[in-house]
Amino acid sequence: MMVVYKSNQKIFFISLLCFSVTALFISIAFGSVPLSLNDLLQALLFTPSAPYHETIVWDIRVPRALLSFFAGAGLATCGAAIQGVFRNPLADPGLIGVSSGAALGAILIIVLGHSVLPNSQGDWQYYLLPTSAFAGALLVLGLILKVSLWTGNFSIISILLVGIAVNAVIGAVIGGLTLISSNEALRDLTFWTMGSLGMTEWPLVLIVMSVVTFTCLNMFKHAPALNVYQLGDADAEHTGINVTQLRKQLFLYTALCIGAVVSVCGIIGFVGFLVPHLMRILTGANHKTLLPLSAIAGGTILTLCDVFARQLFTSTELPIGLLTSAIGGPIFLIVLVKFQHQRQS
Amino acid sequence: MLVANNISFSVNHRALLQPVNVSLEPGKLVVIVGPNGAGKSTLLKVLSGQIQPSTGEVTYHGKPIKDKAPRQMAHIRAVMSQHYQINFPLISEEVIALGRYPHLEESSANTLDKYQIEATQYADVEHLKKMPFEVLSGGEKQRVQFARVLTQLLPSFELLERNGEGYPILLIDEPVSNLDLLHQQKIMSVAKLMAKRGASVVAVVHDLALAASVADQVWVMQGGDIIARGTPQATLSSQLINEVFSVSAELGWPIDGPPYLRYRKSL
Repeated sequence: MMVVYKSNQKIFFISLLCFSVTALFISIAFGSVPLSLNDLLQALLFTPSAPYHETIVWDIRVPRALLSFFAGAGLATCGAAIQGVFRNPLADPGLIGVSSGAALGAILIIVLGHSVLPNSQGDWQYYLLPTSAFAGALLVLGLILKVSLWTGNFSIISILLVGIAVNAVIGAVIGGLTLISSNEALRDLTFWTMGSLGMTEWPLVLIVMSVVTFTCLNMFKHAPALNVYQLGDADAEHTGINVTQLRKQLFLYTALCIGAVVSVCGIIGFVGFLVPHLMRILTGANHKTLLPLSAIAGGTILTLCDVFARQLFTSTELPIGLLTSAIGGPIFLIVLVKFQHQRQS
Repeated sequence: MLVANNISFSVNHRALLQPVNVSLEPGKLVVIVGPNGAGKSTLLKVLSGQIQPSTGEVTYHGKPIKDKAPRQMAHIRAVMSQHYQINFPLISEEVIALGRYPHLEESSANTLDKYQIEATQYADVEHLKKMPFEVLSGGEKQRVQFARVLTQLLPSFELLERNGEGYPILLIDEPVSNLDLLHQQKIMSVAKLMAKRGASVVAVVHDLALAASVADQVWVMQGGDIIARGTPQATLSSQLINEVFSVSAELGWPIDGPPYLRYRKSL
């Protein structure tokens, strides 16, 4: 068995934590402007050897490293939580339709922004897209909560069906929008759906960091209940869980977290699905360890992916979602095959 | 004491449970027998609070159980049900530990450890506790789940006594359906032991001989109604067995051993 048990879990957790700090440092150390280690450390300590070093480090690299880490942490935790809520390891945060809502909000601005809004330049325009995206996410969240009130017990089936319906309708609307969009908007739109960690304005980064921290800590708090919930609705209720309330709370935190991350970073595929899987294979399915480990691993993996996305080609930056899917798919297959092989022997 | 007054349950005008009155006395093991579709599981679900009765009310110490939060109910009663599938690769020990959940605030980790070990021994699953739950056989899974249910039940004796609420309740739906002969007897003897410690135990059992050998009281169900109740010897007559189960058989009561079921006709 490949599973790491209690005695080794602490060691695994600590090494992962060290690894994540290293990843953050690597992310800050690499960039289009080469900085020596000395320059970098001086800039980090606010005593830069050249004034523009401080700008590069503190206004570009640090917020970007933090954004990638928290986005990855949020996506992976939400993936683990939503797989737990659906009691299905194949569930993906995208299922619940919230990221589609965010996509609609973002794409509306990308396609119609130029024609509808006054063509003035200002800071607010930069924030318009994520704000609209987050509004879209909240709209879908509200819709799902509303529909669940009609069906009563907020069942897995009702969440899933509403998600499917929302995804279908929004897919159609986005398709319609691409028909009327200009070539430039079409290009922006395509890139948005492939994800980007380029929105490194501090206010946005801080918002993502606080939403992710708040929602993830709350999800960690529900981990023991989420374990019991795996027994099925009836047995979980017998063991003292208010099943409907638990589902609603976890759904709410997931939706808020996903909404915030997608609004700022676009669609970054595979992290939310893949990381919980890997962690489950490595350390078991207990949500008390699975959720925090997924968070740290998700953050680390996305941070490293971002370094590759920036450094791989000198001329251009790879869209991050492209890279996570391209790397994630094969890695996942390898681990899965290896794991199944070991389990059979 | 759990008392159910005039409880019935219908779905789409079909009565799954006719109005019945029952009360569960501390220290007694009640066995429910009856053919498929007789309403045994429905009665158990109403008693556990899993479904609300269409008429009537279930009370524990005079207070309606429908007003109690899931966690409070989890202190009062533990339920062993028939399905036990888990989709994620938990270790058996982790499954057993799930029974600690409702007691996390009231009892210390040491106390709960003690009860979990006791429960693991009762269910005879010590040698399985480090194994992944998913690789166990059906019967082994059921015993691990039984250990989980006991882990939930055992701390309740102390807790309820401290709160002056009396004794906990153990509800078991077909506990032995997947088990070999040895473990059938073991599980039922643990159920009996829980009753001896003061719990009210209700178990749905199909094996009449097993029912007769452990039950303090038998409830015979047919068509959603309890048509007979009393001690096994007085209740399970060959005439009743013939009428309710449509088989020609009788229970034998040897002086020097447990009761046995003898069929009058071979198959």
